[in-house]
Amino acid sequence: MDLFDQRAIADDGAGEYGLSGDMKKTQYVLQLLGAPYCAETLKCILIAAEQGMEMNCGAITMDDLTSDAFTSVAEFGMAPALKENDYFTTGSKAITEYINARGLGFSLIPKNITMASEQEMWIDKSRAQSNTSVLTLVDEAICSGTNDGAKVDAAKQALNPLLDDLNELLGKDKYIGGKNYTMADLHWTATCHLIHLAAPDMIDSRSNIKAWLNGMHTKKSNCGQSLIAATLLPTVDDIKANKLNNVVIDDF
Amino acid sequence: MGLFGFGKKKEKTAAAGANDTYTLSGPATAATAKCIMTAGVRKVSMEITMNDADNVTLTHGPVTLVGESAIETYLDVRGEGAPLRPKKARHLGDQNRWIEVSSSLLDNNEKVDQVTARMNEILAEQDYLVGPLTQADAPVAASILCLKKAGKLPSGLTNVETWLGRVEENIPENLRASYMSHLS
Repeated sequence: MDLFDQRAIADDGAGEYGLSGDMKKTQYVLQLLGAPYCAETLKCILIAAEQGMEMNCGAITMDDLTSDAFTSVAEFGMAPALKENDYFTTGSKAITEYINARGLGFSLIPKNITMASEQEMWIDKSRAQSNTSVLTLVDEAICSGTNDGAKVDAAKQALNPLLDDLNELLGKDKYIGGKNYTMADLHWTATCHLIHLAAPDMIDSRSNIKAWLNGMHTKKSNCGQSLIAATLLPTVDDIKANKLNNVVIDDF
Repeated sequence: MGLFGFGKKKEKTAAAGANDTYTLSGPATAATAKCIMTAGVRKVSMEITMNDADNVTLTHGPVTLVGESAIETYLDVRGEGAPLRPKKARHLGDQNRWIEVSSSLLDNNEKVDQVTARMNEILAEQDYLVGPLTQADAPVAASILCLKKAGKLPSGLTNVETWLGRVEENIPENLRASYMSHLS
Protein backbone atom coordinates (compact mmCIF):
# COMPACT_ATOMS: atom_id res chain seq x y z
CA MET A 1 0.00 0.00 0.00
CA ASP A 2 1.69 3.24 -1.12
CA LEU A 3 1.24 6.73 0.36
CA PHE A 4 -1.67 7.43 -2.02
CA ASP A 5 -3.57 4.40 -0.74
CA GLN A 6 -2.79 5.32 2.87
CA ARG A 7 -3.88 8.97 2.70
CA ALA A 8 -5.97 9.67 -0.44
CA ILE A 9 -8.97 7.52 0.46
CA ALA A 10 -12.74 7.76 0.19
CA ASP A 11 -14.67 9.55 2.92
CA ASP A 12 -16.62 6.48 3.95
CA GLY A 13 -13.38 4.55 4.43
CA ALA A 14 -14.83 1.39 2.93
CA GLY A 15 -13.18 -0.41 0.08
CA GLU A 16 -14.35 1.05 -3.15
CA TYR A 17 -13.90 1.02 -6.85
CA GLY A 18 -10.53 2.36 -7.88
CA LEU A 19 -8.58 1.59 -4.73
CA SER A 20 -7.43 -1.75 -6.01
CA GLY A 21 -7.38 -0.61 -9.59
CA ASP A 22 -10.94 -1.65 -10.44
CA MET A 23 -12.85 0.55 -12.81
CA LYS A 24 -15.57 2.85 -11.52
CA LYS A 25 -18.00 3.47 -14.30
CA THR A 26 -15.73 4.62 -17.11
CA GLN A 27 -12.71 5.69 -15.15
CA TYR A 28 -10.49 4.95 -12.22
CA VAL A 29 -10.85 7.12 -9.14
CA LEU A 30 -7.97 9.57 -9.07
CA GLN A 31 -5.81 10.00 -5.99
CA LEU A 32 -4.08 13.26 -5.11
CA LEU A 33 -1.50 14.12 -2.48
CA GLY A 34 -1.05 17.79 -1.63
CA ALA A 35 -1.75 20.47 0.97
CA PRO A 36 -4.80 22.68 1.64
CA TYR A 37 -2.64 25.81 1.94
CA CYS A 38 -1.09 25.17 -1.47
CA ALA A 39 -2.83 26.87 -4.42
CA GLU A 40 -1.39 24.30 -6.83
CA THR A 41 -3.11 21.48 -4.93
CA LEU A 42 -6.42 23.33 -4.95
CA LYS A 43 -6.19 23.80 -8.72
CA CYS A 44 -6.04 20.02 -9.11
CA ILE A 45 -9.16 19.60 -6.99
CA LEU A 46 -10.99 22.26 -8.98
CA ILE A 47 -10.17 20.70 -12.36
CA ALA A 48 -11.31 17.26 -11.18
CA ALA A 49 -14.63 18.71 -10.07
CA GLU A 50 -15.02 20.80 -13.23
CA GLN A 51 -14.33 17.82 -15.49
CA GLY A 52 -16.38 15.28 -13.53
CA MET A 53 -13.58 13.05 -12.30
CA GLU A 54 -13.78 11.56 -8.83
CA MET A 55 -10.67 12.16 -6.78
CA ASN A 56 -9.64 11.11 -3.30
CA CYS A 57 -7.31 13.66 -1.75
CA GLY A 58 -4.75 13.12 0.97
CA ALA A 59 -2.86 15.84 2.82
CA ILE A 60 0.88 15.76 3.22
CA THR A 61 3.19 17.92 5.30
CA MET A 62 6.46 19.66 4.46
CA ASP A 63 8.32 16.84 6.19
CA ASP A 64 6.59 14.28 3.96
CA LEU A 65 8.14 15.86 0.85
CA THR A 66 11.55 14.40 1.64
CA SER A 67 10.31 11.06 3.01
CA ASP A 68 10.95 7.81 1.17
CA ALA A 69 7.22 7.08 1.21
CA PHE A 70 6.54 10.24 -0.81
CA THR A 71 9.56 10.27 -3.12
CA SER A 72 8.85 6.66 -4.07
CA VAL A 73 5.52 7.76 -5.59
CA ALA A 74 6.35 11.36 -6.56
CA GLU A 75 9.56 11.53 -8.53
CA PHE A 76 11.98 14.20 -7.31
CA GLY A 77 9.63 14.89 -4.38
CA MET A 78 7.48 17.32 -6.34
CA ALA A 79 3.98 18.11 -5.14
CA PRO A 80 1.10 17.93 -5.72
CA ALA A 81 1.22 14.33 -6.89
CA LEU A 82 -1.41 12.32 -8.76
CA LYS A 83 -2.05 8.63 -9.20
CA GLU A 84 -4.49 6.98 -11.57
CA ASN A 85 -4.20 3.22 -11.31
CA ASP A 86 -0.63 2.61 -12.55
CA TYR A 87 0.03 6.15 -13.76
CA PHE A 88 1.80 8.73 -11.61
CA THR A 89 2.58 12.36 -12.28
CA THR A 90 3.45 15.51 -10.34
CA GLY A 91 3.05 19.26 -10.52
CA SER A 92 -0.09 21.28 -11.11
CA LYS A 93 0.59 21.85 -14.82
CA ALA A 94 0.84 18.13 -15.48
CA ILE A 95 -2.11 17.21 -13.27
CA THR A 96 -4.55 19.93 -14.38
CA GLU A 97 -3.93 19.36 -18.09
CA TYR A 98 -4.06 15.58 -17.64
CA ILE A 99 -7.44 15.76 -15.93
CA ASN A 100 -8.61 18.35 -18.45
CA ALA A 101 -7.81 15.85 -21.21
CA ARG A 102 -9.23 12.79 -19.38
CA GLY A 103 -12.38 14.40 -18.01
CA LEU A 104 -15.94 14.55 -19.22
CA GLY A 105 -16.36 18.25 -19.99
CA PHE A 106 -15.05 20.12 -23.01
CA SER A 107 -11.47 21.36 -22.73
CA LEU A 108 -10.78 24.45 -20.66
CA ILE A 109 -7.89 25.38 -22.92
CA PRO A 110 -9.03 27.69 -25.74
CA LYS A 111 -8.66 26.32 -29.25
CA ASN A 112 -7.60 29.71 -30.60
CA ILE A 113 -3.84 29.73 -30.15
CA THR A 114 -3.55 33.46 -29.38
CA MET A 115 -6.18 33.12 -26.67
CA ALA A 116 -4.56 29.94 -25.34
CA SER A 117 -1.19 31.69 -25.15
CA GLU A 118 -2.69 34.74 -23.44
CA GLN A 119 -4.29 32.40 -20.93
CA GLU A 120 -0.86 30.92 -20.27
CA MET A 121 0.38 34.39 -19.32
CA TRP A 122 -2.38 34.67 -16.73
CA ILE A 123 -1.73 31.14 -15.48
CA ASP A 124 1.93 32.04 -15.14
CA LYS A 125 0.96 35.06 -13.03
CA SER A 126 -1.00 32.84 -10.67
CA ARG A 127 1.86 30.37 -10.34
CA ALA A 128 5.39 31.66 -10.70
CA GLN A 129 4.57 35.27 -9.85
CA SER A 130 2.10 34.71 -6.98
CA ASN A 131 2.77 31.45 -5.21
CA THR A 132 5.48 32.54 -2.81
CA SER A 133 3.56 35.61 -1.70
CA VAL A 134 0.28 33.71 -1.30
CA LEU A 135 2.04 31.04 0.76
CA THR A 136 3.48 33.75 2.97
CA LEU A 137 0.06 35.33 3.55
CA VAL A 138 -1.55 31.98 4.35
CA ASP A 139 1.28 30.92 6.62
CA GLU A 140 1.37 34.18 8.55
CA ALA A 141 -2.43 34.49 8.93
CA ILE A 142 -3.51 30.87 9.27
CA CYS A 143 -0.88 28.12 9.46
CA SER A 144 1.61 29.55 11.92
CA GLY A 145 -0.50 32.61 12.79
CA THR A 146 2.59 34.68 13.57
CA ASN A 147 1.33 37.64 11.49
CA ASP A 148 4.78 39.10 10.93
CA GLY A 149 3.94 42.59 9.66
CA ALA A 150 7.00 42.99 7.48
CA LYS A 151 6.50 39.65 5.74
CA VAL A 152 2.79 40.27 5.20
CA ASP A 153 3.43 43.75 3.80
CA ALA A 154 6.08 42.46 1.42
CA ALA A 155 3.74 39.72 0.19
CA LYS A 156 0.89 42.19 -0.30
CA GLN A 157 3.19 44.58 -2.14
CA ALA A 158 4.16 41.81 -4.55
CA LEU A 159 0.55 40.76 -5.14
CA ASN A 160 -1.06 44.20 -5.43
CA PRO A 161 -0.03 44.93 -9.05
CA LEU A 162 -1.16 41.47 -10.19
CA LEU A 163 -4.52 41.88 -8.48
CA ASP A 164 -4.92 45.37 -9.91
CA ASP A 165 -4.33 44.02 -13.42
CA LEU A 166 -6.76 41.16 -12.79
CA ASN A 167 -9.38 43.56 -11.44
CA GLU A 168 -9.05 45.69 -14.56
CA LEU A 169 -9.35 42.64 -16.85
CA LEU A 170 -12.46 41.40 -15.07
CA GLY A 171 -14.05 44.80 -15.54
CA LYS A 172 -14.12 44.10 -19.28
CA ASP A 173 -15.50 40.57 -19.39
CA LYS A 174 -17.21 37.89 -17.35
CA TYR A 175 -14.18 35.62 -17.11
CA ILE A 176 -10.40 35.86 -17.35
CA GLY A 177 -10.87 33.79 -20.49
CA GLY A 178 -13.23 36.38 -21.93
CA LYS A 179 -16.75 35.13 -22.55
CA ASN A 180 -15.91 31.57 -21.54
CA TYR A 181 -14.58 29.98 -18.37
CA THR A 182 -11.06 28.69 -19.02
CA MET A 183 -8.07 27.20 -17.26
CA ALA A 184 -6.88 30.70 -16.29
CA ASP A 185 -10.11 31.25 -14.32
CA LEU A 186 -9.54 27.95 -12.56
CA HIS A 187 -5.99 28.88 -11.58
CA TRP A 188 -6.98 32.28 -10.24
CA THR A 189 -9.97 30.86 -8.36
CA ALA A 190 -7.58 28.84 -6.22
CA THR A 191 -5.18 31.76 -5.79
CA CYS A 192 -7.88 34.33 -4.96
CA HIS A 193 -9.62 31.91 -2.61
CA LEU A 194 -6.48 31.58 -0.49
CA ILE A 195 -5.78 35.31 -0.60
CA HIS A 196 -9.36 35.95 0.53
CA LEU A 197 -8.99 33.58 3.46
CA ALA A 198 -5.69 35.12 4.58
CA ALA A 199 -6.22 38.79 3.70
CA PRO A 200 -9.87 39.40 2.78
CA ASP A 201 -9.37 43.12 2.18
CA MET A 202 -7.15 42.41 -0.82
CA ILE A 203 -10.10 40.81 -2.63
CA ASP A 204 -13.01 42.73 -1.12
CA SER A 205 -11.48 46.07 -2.09
CA ARG A 206 -11.42 45.03 -5.77
CA SER A 207 -15.05 44.89 -6.85
CA ASN A 208 -14.54 43.08 -10.16
CA ILE A 209 -12.48 40.30 -8.60
CA LYS A 210 -14.95 40.04 -5.74
CA ALA A 211 -17.90 39.70 -8.13
CA TRP A 212 -16.04 37.18 -10.29
CA LEU A 213 -14.98 35.10 -7.25
CA ASN A 214 -18.58 35.10 -6.00
CA GLY A 215 -19.52 33.80 -9.43
CA MET A 216 -17.00 30.98 -9.08
CA HIS A 217 -18.74 29.97 -5.84
CA THR A 218 -22.06 29.56 -7.63
CA LYS A 219 -20.98 28.28 -11.05
CA LYS A 220 -21.89 24.67 -11.77
CA SER A 221 -19.21 22.36 -13.08
CA ASN A 222 -17.96 22.52 -16.64
CA CYS A 223 -19.05 18.96 -17.34
CA GLY A 224 -22.71 19.76 -16.72
CA GLN A 225 -23.14 18.24 -13.27
CA SER A 226 -24.70 20.16 -10.43
CA LEU A 227 -21.45 20.12 -8.42
CA ILE A 228 -19.96 23.55 -7.70
CA ALA A 229 -16.20 23.03 -7.80
CA ALA A 230 -15.32 25.98 -5.59
CA THR A 231 -17.33 24.50 -2.68
CA LEU A 232 -14.58 21.90 -2.35
CA LEU A 233 -11.96 24.54 -1.56
CA PRO A 234 -10.72 24.48 2.05
CA THR A 235 -11.91 26.73 4.86
CA VAL A 236 -9.58 28.26 7.44
CA ASP A 237 -10.37 25.34 9.75
CA ASP A 238 -9.56 22.85 6.98
CA ILE A 239 -6.18 24.50 6.46
CA LYS A 240 -5.43 24.44 10.19
CA ALA A 241 -6.43 20.76 10.32
CA ASN A 242 -4.42 20.03 7.15
CA LYS A 243 -7.53 18.56 5.55
CA LEU A 244 -8.41 18.27 1.87
CA ASN A 245 -11.88 17.55 0.47
CA ASN A 246 -12.48 14.65 -1.90
CA VAL A 247 -14.19 15.15 -5.25
CA VAL A 248 -17.28 12.96 -5.21
CA ILE A 249 -19.49 12.78 -8.28
CA ASP A 250 -23.04 11.62 -7.55
CA ASP A 251 -25.04 12.49 -10.64
CA PHE A 252 -24.09 10.75 -13.82
CA MET B 1 -24.91 19.91 -23.76
CA GLY B 2 -21.54 20.99 -22.47
CA LEU B 3 -19.92 17.79 -23.69
CA PHE B 4 -20.42 18.83 -27.31
CA GLY B 5 -19.43 22.43 -26.84
CA PHE B 6 -22.93 23.84 -27.34
CA GLY B 7 -23.25 27.22 -25.79
CA LYS B 8 -19.54 27.95 -25.88
CA LYS B 9 -19.22 31.43 -27.28
CA LYS B 10 -16.71 32.12 -30.03
CA GLU B 11 -14.58 35.21 -29.74
CA LYS B 12 -12.57 37.16 -32.27
CA THR B 13 -8.96 37.85 -31.43
CA ALA B 14 -6.20 39.70 -33.23
CA ALA B 15 -4.25 37.34 -35.43
CA ALA B 16 -0.85 37.67 -37.04
CA GLY B 17 -0.56 37.56 -40.82
CA ALA B 18 1.48 35.08 -42.81
CA ASN B 19 4.16 37.69 -43.51
CA ASP B 20 4.45 39.10 -40.00
CA THR B 21 7.86 38.81 -38.40
CA TYR B 22 8.55 36.98 -35.17
CA THR B 23 10.67 39.03 -32.79
CA LEU B 24 12.00 37.62 -29.54
CA SER B 25 13.69 39.76 -26.95
CA GLY B 26 14.78 38.91 -23.45
CA PRO B 27 17.52 38.56 -20.87
CA ALA B 28 20.20 35.89 -21.00
CA THR B 29 18.24 33.45 -18.85
CA ALA B 30 16.94 29.92 -19.12
CA ALA B 31 13.49 31.26 -20.02
CA THR B 32 14.83 33.03 -23.11
CA ALA B 33 16.94 30.01 -24.01
CA LYS B 34 13.86 27.79 -23.87
CA CYS B 35 11.96 30.05 -26.23
CA ILE B 36 14.86 30.07 -28.70
CA MET B 37 15.15 26.28 -28.56
CA THR B 38 11.40 25.85 -29.01
CA ALA B 39 11.43 28.19 -32.01
CA GLY B 40 14.29 26.20 -33.49
CA VAL B 41 12.68 22.80 -33.00
CA ARG B 42 9.42 24.14 -34.44
CA LYS B 43 11.35 25.68 -37.35
CA VAL B 44 10.21 29.24 -36.68
CA SER B 45 12.53 31.93 -37.95
CA MET B 46 12.69 34.94 -35.69
CA GLU B 47 14.80 38.00 -34.93
CA ILE B 48 16.42 37.64 -31.53
CA THR B 49 17.56 40.50 -29.32
CA MET B 50 19.15 39.95 -25.93
CA ASN B 51 18.52 42.73 -23.43
CA ASP B 52 18.19 43.45 -19.71
CA ALA B 53 14.40 43.20 -19.56
CA ASP B 54 12.79 41.33 -16.69
CA ASN B 55 11.14 38.78 -18.93
CA VAL B 56 11.25 37.25 -22.38
CA THR B 57 8.82 38.73 -24.93
CA LEU B 58 7.64 37.56 -28.33
CA THR B 59 5.91 39.79 -30.83
CA HIS B 60 4.25 38.51 -33.96
CA GLY B 61 2.16 41.06 -35.79
CA PRO B 62 -0.47 42.33 -33.34
CA VAL B 63 0.29 39.55 -30.85
CA THR B 64 2.59 40.22 -27.90
CA LEU B 65 3.32 37.44 -25.42
CA VAL B 66 5.41 37.58 -22.27
CA GLY B 67 6.91 34.58 -20.47
CA GLU B 68 8.18 31.22 -21.59
CA SER B 69 4.90 29.30 -21.11
CA ALA B 70 2.88 31.59 -23.35
CA ILE B 71 5.61 31.83 -25.98
CA GLU B 72 6.29 28.08 -26.12
CA THR B 73 2.55 27.38 -26.41
CA TYR B 74 2.26 29.85 -29.30
CA LEU B 75 5.34 28.67 -31.16
CA ASP B 76 4.28 25.05 -30.93
CA VAL B 77 1.12 25.71 -32.90
CA ARG B 78 2.60 28.33 -35.23
CA GLY B 79 5.57 26.16 -36.12
CA GLU B 80 5.97 23.88 -39.06
CA GLY B 81 3.94 20.70 -39.22
CA ALA B 82 1.73 19.25 -36.54
CA PRO B 83 2.06 20.68 -33.01
CA LEU B 84 4.15 18.62 -30.63
CA ARG B 85 1.53 18.70 -27.89
CA PRO B 86 0.56 15.03 -27.37
CA LYS B 87 -3.01 13.85 -27.76
CA LYS B 88 -2.51 10.91 -25.41
CA ALA B 89 -3.27 12.04 -21.87
CA ARG B 90 -0.40 10.14 -20.23
CA HIS B 91 2.12 11.57 -22.67
CA LEU B 92 0.65 15.02 -21.99
CA GLY B 93 1.05 14.46 -18.24
CA ASP B 94 4.64 13.28 -18.66
CA GLN B 95 5.47 16.16 -20.98
CA ASN B 96 4.16 18.75 -18.56
CA ARG B 97 5.87 17.10 -15.65
CA TRP B 98 9.23 17.44 -17.42
CA ILE B 99 8.49 21.06 -18.31
CA GLU B 100 7.84 21.76 -14.64
CA VAL B 101 10.92 19.80 -13.54
CA SER B 102 13.06 21.99 -15.79
CA SER B 103 11.50 25.24 -14.47
CA SER B 104 11.32 24.32 -10.79
CA LEU B 105 14.44 22.26 -10.35
CA LEU B 106 17.00 22.50 -13.17
CA ASP B 107 16.67 26.27 -13.70
CA ASN B 108 17.10 26.79 -9.95
CA ASN B 109 20.08 24.45 -9.83
CA GLU B 110 18.20 22.00 -7.60
CA LYS B 111 18.47 18.20 -7.66
CA VAL B 112 20.51 18.45 -10.86
CA ASP B 113 22.37 15.19 -10.21
CA GLN B 114 19.16 13.28 -9.50
CA VAL B 115 17.19 14.71 -12.42
CA THR B 116 19.93 14.30 -15.02
CA ALA B 117 20.72 10.77 -13.84
CA ARG B 118 17.07 9.88 -14.30
CA MET B 119 17.03 11.52 -17.73
CA ASN B 120 20.07 9.45 -18.67
CA GLU B 121 18.22 6.25 -17.68
CA ILE B 122 15.10 7.17 -19.61
CA LEU B 123 17.00 8.23 -22.72
CA ALA B 124 18.78 4.89 -22.84
CA GLU B 125 15.43 3.36 -23.78
CA GLN B 126 13.81 5.98 -25.96
CA ASP B 127 14.70 8.83 -28.30
CA TYR B 128 13.01 11.64 -26.39
CA LEU B 129 11.90 12.33 -22.83
CA VAL B 130 8.34 11.08 -23.20
CA GLY B 131 8.90 8.67 -26.08
CA PRO B 132 7.96 10.72 -29.10
CA LEU B 133 9.24 14.30 -29.53
CA THR B 134 6.97 16.57 -27.46
CA GLN B 135 6.84 20.16 -26.22
CA ALA B 136 9.06 19.08 -23.29
CA ASP B 137 12.24 18.29 -25.20
CA ALA B 138 13.13 21.80 -26.36
CA PRO B 139 12.79 23.61 -23.01
CA VAL B 140 14.43 20.81 -21.04
CA ALA B 141 17.28 20.73 -23.57
CA ALA B 142 17.67 24.49 -23.10
CA SER B 143 17.83 24.03 -19.32
CA ILE B 144 20.51 21.36 -19.76
CA LEU B 145 22.50 23.61 -22.11
CA CYS B 146 22.31 26.45 -19.56
CA LEU B 147 23.66 24.13 -16.89
CA LYS B 148 26.40 23.02 -19.28
CA LYS B 149 27.30 26.63 -20.04
CA ALA B 150 27.56 27.33 -16.30
CA GLY B 151 29.77 24.27 -15.77
CA LYS B 152 27.09 22.61 -13.61
CA LEU B 153 26.13 19.64 -15.74
CA PRO B 154 27.41 16.37 -14.30
CA SER B 155 29.74 14.40 -16.53
CA GLY B 156 29.17 10.96 -17.96
CA LEU B 157 25.60 11.52 -19.15
CA THR B 158 26.12 9.82 -22.49
CA ASN B 159 22.46 9.36 -23.33
CA VAL B 160 21.63 12.95 -22.38
CA GLU B 161 24.39 14.20 -24.70
CA THR B 162 23.08 12.02 -27.54
CA TRP B 163 19.55 13.30 -26.91
CA LEU B 164 20.79 16.92 -26.96
CA GLY B 165 22.24 16.29 -30.41
CA ARG B 166 19.00 14.69 -31.52
CA VAL B 167 16.94 17.69 -30.35
CA GLU B 168 19.38 20.06 -32.05
CA GLU B 169 19.04 18.17 -35.33
CA ASN B 170 15.38 19.18 -35.43
CA ILE B 171 16.49 22.79 -35.91
CA PRO B 172 16.82 23.60 -39.62
CA GLU B 173 20.36 24.18 -40.83
CA ASN B 174 19.70 27.79 -41.78
CA LEU B 175 18.71 28.58 -38.16
CA ARG B 176 20.87 26.20 -36.17
CA ALA B 177 24.15 28.12 -35.96
CA SER B 178 22.47 31.38 -35.05
CA TYR B 179 20.13 29.89 -32.46
CA MET B 180 22.76 27.64 -30.88
CA SER B 181 25.14 30.59 -30.57
CA HIS B 182 22.65 32.12 -28.14
CA LEU B 183 22.45 28.88 -26.16
CA SER B 184 26.05 27.74 -25.89
